[in-house]
Amino acid sequence: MEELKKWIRSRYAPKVLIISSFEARAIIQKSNLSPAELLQPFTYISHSFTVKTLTSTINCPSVKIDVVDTLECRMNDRILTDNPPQISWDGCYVHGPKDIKQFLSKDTTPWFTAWQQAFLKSLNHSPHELIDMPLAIVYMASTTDLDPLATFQTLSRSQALPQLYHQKIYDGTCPKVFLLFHDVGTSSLKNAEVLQIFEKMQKSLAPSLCHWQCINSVTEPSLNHWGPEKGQSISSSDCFQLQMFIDELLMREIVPYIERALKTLDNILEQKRRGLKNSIKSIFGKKNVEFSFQYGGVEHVTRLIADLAFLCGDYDLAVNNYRSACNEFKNLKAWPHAASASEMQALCVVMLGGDNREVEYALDTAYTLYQRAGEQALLLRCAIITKYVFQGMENYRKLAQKLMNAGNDAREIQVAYPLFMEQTALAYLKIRPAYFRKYAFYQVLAGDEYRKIQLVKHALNCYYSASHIYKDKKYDFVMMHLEHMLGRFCYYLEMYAEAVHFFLSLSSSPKLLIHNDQHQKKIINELISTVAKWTSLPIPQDYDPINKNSIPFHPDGKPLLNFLLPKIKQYSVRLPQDKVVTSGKDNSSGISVTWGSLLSQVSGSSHLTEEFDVFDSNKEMKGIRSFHIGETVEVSILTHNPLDLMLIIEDVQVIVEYEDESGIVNMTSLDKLELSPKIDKTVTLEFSPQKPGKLKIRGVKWNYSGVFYGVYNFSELIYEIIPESSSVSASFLQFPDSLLHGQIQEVQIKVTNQVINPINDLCITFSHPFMFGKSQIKLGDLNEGEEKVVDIWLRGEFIGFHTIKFLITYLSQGILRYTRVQSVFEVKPSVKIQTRYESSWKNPNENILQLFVQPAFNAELSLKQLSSLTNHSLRIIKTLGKEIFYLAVKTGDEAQNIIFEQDWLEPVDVKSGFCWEVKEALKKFTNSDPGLDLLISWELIINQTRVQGHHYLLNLSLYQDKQAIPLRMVIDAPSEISHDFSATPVLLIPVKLSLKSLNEKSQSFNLEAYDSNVQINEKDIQKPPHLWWSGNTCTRFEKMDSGEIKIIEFTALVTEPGCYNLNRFCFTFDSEITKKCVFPYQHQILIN
Amino acid sequence: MNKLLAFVAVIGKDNRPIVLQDFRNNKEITMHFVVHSSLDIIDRKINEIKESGEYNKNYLGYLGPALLGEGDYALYGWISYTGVKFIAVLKENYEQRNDEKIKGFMQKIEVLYTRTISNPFHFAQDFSGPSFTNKLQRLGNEL
Repeated sequence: MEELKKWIRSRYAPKVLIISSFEARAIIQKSNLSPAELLQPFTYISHSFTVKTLTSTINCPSVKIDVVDTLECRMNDRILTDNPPQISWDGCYVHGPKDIKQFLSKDTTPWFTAWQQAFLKSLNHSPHELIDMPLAIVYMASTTDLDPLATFQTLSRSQALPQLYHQKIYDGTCPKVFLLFHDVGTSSLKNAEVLQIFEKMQKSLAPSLCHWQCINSVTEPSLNHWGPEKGQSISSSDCFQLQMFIDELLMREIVPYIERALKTLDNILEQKRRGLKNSIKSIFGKKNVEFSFQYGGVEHVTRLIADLAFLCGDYDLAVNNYRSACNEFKNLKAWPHAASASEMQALCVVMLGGDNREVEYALDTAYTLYQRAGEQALLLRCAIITKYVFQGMENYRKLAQKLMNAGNDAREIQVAYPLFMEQTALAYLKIRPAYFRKYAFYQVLAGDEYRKIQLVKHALNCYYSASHIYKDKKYDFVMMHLEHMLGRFCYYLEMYAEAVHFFLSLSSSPKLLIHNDQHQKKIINELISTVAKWTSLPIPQDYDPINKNSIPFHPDGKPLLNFLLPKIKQYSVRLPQDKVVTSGKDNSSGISVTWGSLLSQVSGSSHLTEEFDVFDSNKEMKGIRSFHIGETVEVSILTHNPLDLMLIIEDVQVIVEYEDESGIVNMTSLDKLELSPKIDKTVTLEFSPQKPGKLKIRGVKWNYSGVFYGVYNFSELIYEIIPESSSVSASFLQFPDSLLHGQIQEVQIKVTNQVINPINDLCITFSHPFMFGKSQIKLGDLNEGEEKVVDIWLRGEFIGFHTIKFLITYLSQGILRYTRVQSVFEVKPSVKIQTRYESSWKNPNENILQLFVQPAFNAELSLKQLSSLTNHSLRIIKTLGKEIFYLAVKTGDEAQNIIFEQDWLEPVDVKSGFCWEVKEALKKFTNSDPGLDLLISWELIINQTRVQGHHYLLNLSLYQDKQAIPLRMVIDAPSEISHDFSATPVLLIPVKLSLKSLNEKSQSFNLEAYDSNVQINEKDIQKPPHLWWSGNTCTRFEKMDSGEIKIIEFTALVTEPGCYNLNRFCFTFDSEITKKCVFPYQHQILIN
Repeated sequence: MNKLLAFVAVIGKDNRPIVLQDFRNNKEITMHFVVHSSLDIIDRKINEIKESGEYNKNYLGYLGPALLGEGDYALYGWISYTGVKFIAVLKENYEQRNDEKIKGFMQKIEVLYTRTISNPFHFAQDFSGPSFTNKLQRLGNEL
């Protein structure tokens, strides 16, 4: 509040008018000063003095006097242009509540302060108020005037006074003082002559009103009161004299005048109020005629008493008279007069420390009355006073509202709206907690209006300070608008590098894509024209002060900008060793092994492990990779046009440079790339370095519209270029796209050495050994330019897609190098094979294998060979149709070597050892117990094409009925007998029973043969005719070892023809005495 | 038909916009500014709620005017229990301003928003589809 009072005191100081002669002004001008400026430093009276008002004696501790040259002060229209904001891109701005304190610690709007000062000054000496009425007039003449006395007389004529005196608004009877200047430095007059002039003056003009002042008498440097380049010739004694003059002026003229005037005015007022004329006037006054002050009128006197009381600090007296004046003015519909009185009334209450509501009410009344009077300038002045008052009260919320209203209400004054919106914004910032978002909004409103009145720098400042609030808050449309305007403002202010920054940011905004193609085109075109303008300058600025980084320029003078159109979605660099010769479909689907696993089979290759891990995992390699001189590197970029318009870029190039910044890298460039809307396109660029050293691939650049280069920077990519050496190229001469499962085909790989040097230890390591029967082929050495064709048998295995990889390793000039080749092919189904086992009744060491073979599709199948690949012998029992075969498989002990019992089963030339190699490779995939390994060679005729192949049936487990009875029983008896029962009524049938123990341990059991009329168990129902056994039908077996075979002979006895089941044997094991076991099948014999 | 609903904003707990839907023919971005600046008032109202302990109060009421060239608009606020803010900008209709009706409308917006984000087929943060917008418009028409 003290600050507010101080401001009120300084604003409403007693005024003194200076009227000077031309000569006086000329000698003062020698010190670069005007007459008012000359006196200004001495107008602060620091000693106390008393003033007697009508009601009290006021003790004034100090006072400041305002000295004015003229009462008509025109507003400088260029005040805002002359006080532009200093844009500091990295200055202190408000991003959020935390920055506000620091931001407000300085004068954020010095242009407003300057404008406000000039604006208030221009409204001083308004005809509707008397607060600015000069309390004294100082006439200044010089001894260099032809006749100083005559000059004074001319100056002091009433006609020479300003208009307000002629209109009898200001009091022309105020004290008048005559100040004669003597220019000591240049005047030829001696002191005696000057004294003579002065005495003449005193005689004519009254001695007490005349003063003599030396000027420009400096002999040595004195304390400068006026600032640089001003008042240099004013000496200390001159200053002292001037101070004395002002003191005297106040004490001898102004104070007595106030005291005198107050008394006089009070008397006049008393008389006027008593007078009939005034009483009638107050009732029937000419209320429709525009009011103006009349000297000596009641309103004039009341207002003058109030103003004089206010100036000498008697605020009680002042407030009463302002109140009274205000009411009188209202009655007279003198709205500006009433408003001014109400305004002063508010200030009096402030000075008296009264109620804030009363202050607010008085200011609101003043504002409303100014509004009614249509006085927009005075309305703004009222708003400025309100600003100070509410700031003093720290009521910023109401202040913001009032400033905003004032800006809106004073639209005729163009600068008012943006200035007051800016102040509104600041008021919102001062509210606790701060309304920083409203601050941003009102800054934008102010900026928008500044733009309309061509104050672009101010607009830029407003938008830029607001942009910090919206940044990274996801208000993308708002940010786009701000950046667009900021770009335009910077362009207008010829800050092209900054404009480019904003347009670049705008063109990379994702929200740009939401706009239509016309808008997108507009933005891009504005960017292009800005860059064109920027680069057309003789020395374009190569520093972006917003991002604080330097902008690189191409040698052709075009800048390299981080222009993100088209978007680079992906990029990859393929070194020569990264390239893989691929046949078949170019994908890595299906069964695949890692390159690393192939490398592990090559001796002395551990240093390449990390590189191969990169191939397998697509991760980036940490170390620096290397390649040889002359080899071609491919850089692929996946470009995307996100816009709704066609993008055309030219001269697309990879930015490649040696780390020592020497040497040129030859590279291919794409002359033109046209990208349709929303389209992806991959571009591959190649280069081959010709010099060893460290090479950096910085990124990719392209020319946009011939104006600038768009640049996309890669992450740090550094490579080591090493001297050239021979490498091996490899290709498939023939490699199938697909094979049938089991089909066999020969493939060829051609390896060629380049012509630089011979290579050694050439070796091909490949995946899928179960298809090739091996995993590595060693080829030895290869001379310069020599080529070698490698034949390999391939058999289709595992249905589906397979990526077969070949790693070709070799030593070139003692360095282990490699080439990678891969093929993707499909294995399709060929034949379906099902197997089933049964035990053989012919031999306990024999099983029956049922094979069900059929083509997997519509084709004609024929089996060419069935072979055992283990020490089991095969014997064909029968064939059913074309595809079902019954084989007897004899195991183990009897035949250590493979025995083929029929020609058909003998091995044909199934690629000699290839089938064994493949079998061994396949066996690695199976973990089950070793059993029968079977090879089935087949031929399919598909559309008259013969396709041959073979299938493996590996680890077929032989039949074991362990769960039911731990024995194998084979009954050897004739299956059919013809017998004449009339000749011999009883038929004896010899039955040989072979028993093989399947138990792992030795076992003991009883065997009993039952006649068929005896029921063995509940299920056993035998109908006549019956069969009997002769001789011993019960046998005991003690400790029969595992696999042991025992043969027992029985004789069966039948008496009539029929079909009999010979399986009438029952086993009782010692471990399960209570349980009788019977083999659950029949062995029938037909007796005719 | 003179539609009252001009703009709807859904603002996340972190004060970042989730939905900014303009229902006017004039699609200027002024409403974005207005909505953003109204967050200051919402913050103040939230503080008032905290101080008074009325934690079950969702309706924030009248947030202030939005004086645009084409007419006067009024902003109303609603806050969910999870801190999501809903701001509706309605054409100012002094005669027919019905706080209860507006309160009901705001509540319906919250329900619509909750149902939309609860939909397992809804793509997070994407409210640009016609379904959500049309439903909002229908709610606005009921005002």
